Amino acid sequence: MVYQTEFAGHSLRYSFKKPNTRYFFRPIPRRVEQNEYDLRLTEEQFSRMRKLVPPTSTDSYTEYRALIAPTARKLLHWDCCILHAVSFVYREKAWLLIGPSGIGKSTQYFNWQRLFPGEITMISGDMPVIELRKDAFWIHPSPWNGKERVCSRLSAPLGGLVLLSQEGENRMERVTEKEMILPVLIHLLARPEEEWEARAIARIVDGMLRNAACWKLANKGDDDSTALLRGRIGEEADLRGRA
Amino acid sequence: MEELKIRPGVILTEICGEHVLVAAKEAREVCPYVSMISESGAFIWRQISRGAKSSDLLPLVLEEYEIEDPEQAKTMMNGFIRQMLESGYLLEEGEENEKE
Repeated sequence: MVYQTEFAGHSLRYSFKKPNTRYFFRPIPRRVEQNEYDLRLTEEQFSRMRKLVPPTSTDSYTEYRALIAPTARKLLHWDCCILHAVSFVYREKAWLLIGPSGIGKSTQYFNWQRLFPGEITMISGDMPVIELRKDAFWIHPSPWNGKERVCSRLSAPLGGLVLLSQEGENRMERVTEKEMILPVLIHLLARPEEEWEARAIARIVDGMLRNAACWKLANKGDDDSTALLRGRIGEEADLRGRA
Repeated sequence: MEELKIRPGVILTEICGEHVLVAAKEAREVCPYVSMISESGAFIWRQISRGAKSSDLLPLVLEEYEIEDPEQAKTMMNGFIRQMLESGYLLEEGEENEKE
């Protein structure tokens, strides 16, 4: 059976190994009456993920997780990809918090919601779809939203990127596009197997960084760090509003 | 110096004016996924990709950057090549076959 879902307005058809895998997706992919599909995991891809997920994970959950990387590669056909980041909308622009797992990306989001309720809306709590368009760069939801599973159906043009690190003090400063190149590349979920894919990834990251304000936040994960983050992003929004 | 060649699957790209090597295909298993290289490194890389012989590289670098001190250019070039060989992005002629 083949199931179809949308990423940044593009349809992908999955042939799941386990029918229940579709229930991990939001919205749940709809069944289509055709045999052709775009993605089906190989045994090797499934087995590799089996070693990475907790031992108690179901086959369906394992398949759901194993589909991230092949989906990210497939999306390159449309100048889209999947990025490991918390993404939210603030004053009509999307902001991306990037950094390794456990660095406090979600903490910043939940702090902000608690301190300033209703100001921001989550796009994806873990892995938004990013899209290079001719005149802008857009951020979209995806089915992979982290352990908190916070997401929405909201899409927005990119406002900026914040690279997080944990430190004993709170400090937020502008960084150059150059400083963001490797962190962004490393946090993209697609690893190229063909030359055109490597070139597509370079094009996407180039477009992303040229359309984004780039910041670095050294933080303790406390309320003060979130107030600092909000303040800087607010200044950025004010500047863009006046431009 | 042995003749140099680029490991199959390693691609030189440009992001925001910076030169970035990306390991794709079979290179993914043996090289760092991504690395940034300097402008002069990218110049040397392009010469190798065009089939320049090792002995041609230094004169090409001297001409491109109008460097008066050949020793300085040689040190810079050898440092870059050593780094690329160590990370596996470049191969010395015959090296791949030996490993097979």
